[in-house]
Amino acid sequence: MKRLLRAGLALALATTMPMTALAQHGGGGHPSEGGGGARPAPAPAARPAPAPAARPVQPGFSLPHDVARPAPAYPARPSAPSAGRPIAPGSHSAVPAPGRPSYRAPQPLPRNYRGPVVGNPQHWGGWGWNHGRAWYPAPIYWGGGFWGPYALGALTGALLLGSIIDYPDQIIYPSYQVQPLTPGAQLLQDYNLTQTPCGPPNLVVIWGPGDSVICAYPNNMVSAGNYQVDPTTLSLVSSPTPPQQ
Amino acid sequence: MSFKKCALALAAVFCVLATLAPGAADASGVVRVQQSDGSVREYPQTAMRWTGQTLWLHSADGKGVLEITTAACSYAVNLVRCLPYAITLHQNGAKRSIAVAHGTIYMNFSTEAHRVPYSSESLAAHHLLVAIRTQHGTYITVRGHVDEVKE
Repeated sequence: MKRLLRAGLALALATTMPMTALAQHGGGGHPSEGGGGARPAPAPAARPAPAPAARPVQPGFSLPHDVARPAPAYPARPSAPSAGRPIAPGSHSAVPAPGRPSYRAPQPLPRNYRGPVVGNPQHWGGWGWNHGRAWYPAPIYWGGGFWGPYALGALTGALLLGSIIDYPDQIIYPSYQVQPLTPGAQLLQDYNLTQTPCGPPNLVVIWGPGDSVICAYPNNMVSAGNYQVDPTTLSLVSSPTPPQQ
Repeated sequence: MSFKKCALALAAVFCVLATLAPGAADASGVVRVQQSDGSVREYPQTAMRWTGQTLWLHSADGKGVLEITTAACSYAVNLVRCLPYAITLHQNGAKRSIAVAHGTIYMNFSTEAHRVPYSSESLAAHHLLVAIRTQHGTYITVRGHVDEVKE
């Protein structure tokens, strides 16, 4: 038993010592540096040690430009999503204006409104579409990041894919291309929908988080009209019928 | 010497080994900060904690903590992708907000390596990759093994 203990101690020392030595001497003894031949090792050069940096290193993290000045404001744009607002199924609707179907901006839904649900064909439940992980919008991104990592401050017209115009309120809701590998892309894939620029009538208009909107061609599962997303089940909820005038 | 004592002695030896072996107990995270003026500074051995949807980065000297708040976490194939939207620097007894312009965080919660979508980069198990641009033009990148995960 003592032999076993001695062997263990020897192993410990053998394992620890070389690594410590290498760490302290910067890999000394490497053959290319003259440490492995029969000749005696040359005396170390009499170079003076490099002078320590004159400037003291600031402890912690140094982000002087970011902590010294206030953040610049985002460029003004219509319908910027409200920051940090959680997705509440049924919290918005797109009520088409009379004579202008699918061109009206979302309006608050009546309390306890339960619109017809076009169930997701995958039958996701309990955030199953996201491996059981709850999804919350990220405030500084268009649609909370549901359709893609579009930062509000970096959106350009080049990314635009049509828009929805709210004529009575004079508000334009721009639409952008859904990025692959996003919840929005999965939604379209589950319903076999193909995105198309918003604007023309008789499209599937899907309102996402933060007043974001995208449009798709109708198919045998989803007919033309206004929908919003129930993020828990990744389902489409039909908006209420527009008021008749 | 009894077998029990011997086993205890060996366990003690390996505990010492684990402490002395370089890097064995060290944090492996590396934070790289590139200021808008081009200056770059790296912070190796940063300890990384992931709690809920917040990433905590502890500098090796223990003087600073970066709190990165994320949301919109969803699966991109085998990796979790989150979007950072707020950063707070805890340092010198004060909290300073850093305005985020945009960024992405990829986290590998699985036990095997997976490739980052649309990239040749691969993330080992329990490793993460962060790229953030602040509103003042500072680029913050982070990579390495996450020391603690609390979901």
